[in-house]
Amino acid sequence: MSGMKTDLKLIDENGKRIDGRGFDELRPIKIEAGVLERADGSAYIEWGGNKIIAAVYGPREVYPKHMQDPSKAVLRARYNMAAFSVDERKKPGPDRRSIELSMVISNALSSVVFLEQFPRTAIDVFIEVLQADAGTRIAGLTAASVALADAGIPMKDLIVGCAAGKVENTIVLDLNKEEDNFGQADLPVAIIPRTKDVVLFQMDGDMTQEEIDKAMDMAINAAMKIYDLQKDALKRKYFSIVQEDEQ
Amino acid sequence: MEKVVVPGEFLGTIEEYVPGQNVIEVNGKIYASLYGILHFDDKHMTINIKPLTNLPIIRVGEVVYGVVSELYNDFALVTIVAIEGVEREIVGGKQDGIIHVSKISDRYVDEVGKMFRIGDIVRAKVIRSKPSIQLTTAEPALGVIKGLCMKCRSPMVKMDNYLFCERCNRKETRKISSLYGNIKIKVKNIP
Repeated sequence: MSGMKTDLKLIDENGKRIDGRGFDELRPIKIEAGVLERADGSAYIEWGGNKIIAAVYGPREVYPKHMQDPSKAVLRARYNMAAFSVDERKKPGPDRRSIELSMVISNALSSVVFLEQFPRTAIDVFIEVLQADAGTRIAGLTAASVALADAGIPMKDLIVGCAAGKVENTIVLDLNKEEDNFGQADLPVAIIPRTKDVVLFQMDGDMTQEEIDKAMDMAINAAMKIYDLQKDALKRKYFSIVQEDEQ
Repeated sequence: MEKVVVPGEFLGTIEEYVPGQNVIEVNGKIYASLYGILHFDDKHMTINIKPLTNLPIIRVGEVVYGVVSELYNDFALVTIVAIEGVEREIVGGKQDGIIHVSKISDRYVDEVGKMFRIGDIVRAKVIRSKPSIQLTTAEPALGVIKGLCMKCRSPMVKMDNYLFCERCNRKETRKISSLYGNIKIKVKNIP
């Protein structure tokens, strides 16, 4: 990101990365659905060092009123980083980066939710990054789609994503913080798993066409694995409710 | 064992089943569109999903709670704030419902103002949801569950078939629900 010159060796002689992963390995991921009592739907994700909570409210009344759409619901996502989520204190409140991420996440989620079913309403999605370790937009989006499903909102499919990037001239999957800061490029991709349609695609850094194609393939393959974790999280939530009822 | 499905999950093809509720059909294949429990209806050959979390939508037959907001010659306007048994905010927020004079009680009602007053909290049943929400209170357990005195606006107590204001020593007539004063409504996120 910052492109600083460092002595840091991001990939060692054996082809292992700084945290011991191979170039196409994901960080450990844990997803949980229905973690919040007050929200209509919620999810929590731990993705490597990322810790993110997503909460969904609605469909509910739109405030401010002028935002309402008589033909469909408005989906408003808000991506927010906690002040303590990064090494140096992040000034609270929306900044240029989080406003943009809120927008791209809203657009991605809008493409799967059946918004026409709820005219004149708003669906609010809150993504709170408690601890950041690169790849938060994708992790947040992955959690948000689980939270939407948990809220009982009809959707075409879940959304799942993964990032890939370029570090020391090799294409690697799922960059961590060091690789994101001192690597050459970062490429977050989010897809609709059933159709493999791309709903979010951004790039930070430089890559050639071939590199992008390779990174895309890697990210999409990894995303399909994360999709299984999403499904598992929702099913686990149901069976834990059933077990509680039986006791 | 029940099968839980998540949005986007493949369920079958249209040659096997007819797409029913909460499923979508794309190119002859049926997918789930909701997080819920899968039901195969072998009688009608349909495939349905029963939602795990019901969205609070005002449907026919639902019992709702509201505040009387306006009185007219032949109907009362009620602002619906909650659906019975649902804590979640109604989809689209508060909505207006209409109780026509003929639907207030089993008996003949000559004036809406004798049965409802502005500010009363009523328990009513939905009899039509489109194009406008029509309500009825013509059942013993339906009607006013909390009435305010016309003079001092304080809550009144239920006597045999009328309401009594202990502050002003006045009687008032209402369509009183048999549950008058015995209801606790639990709703979250009301703005």
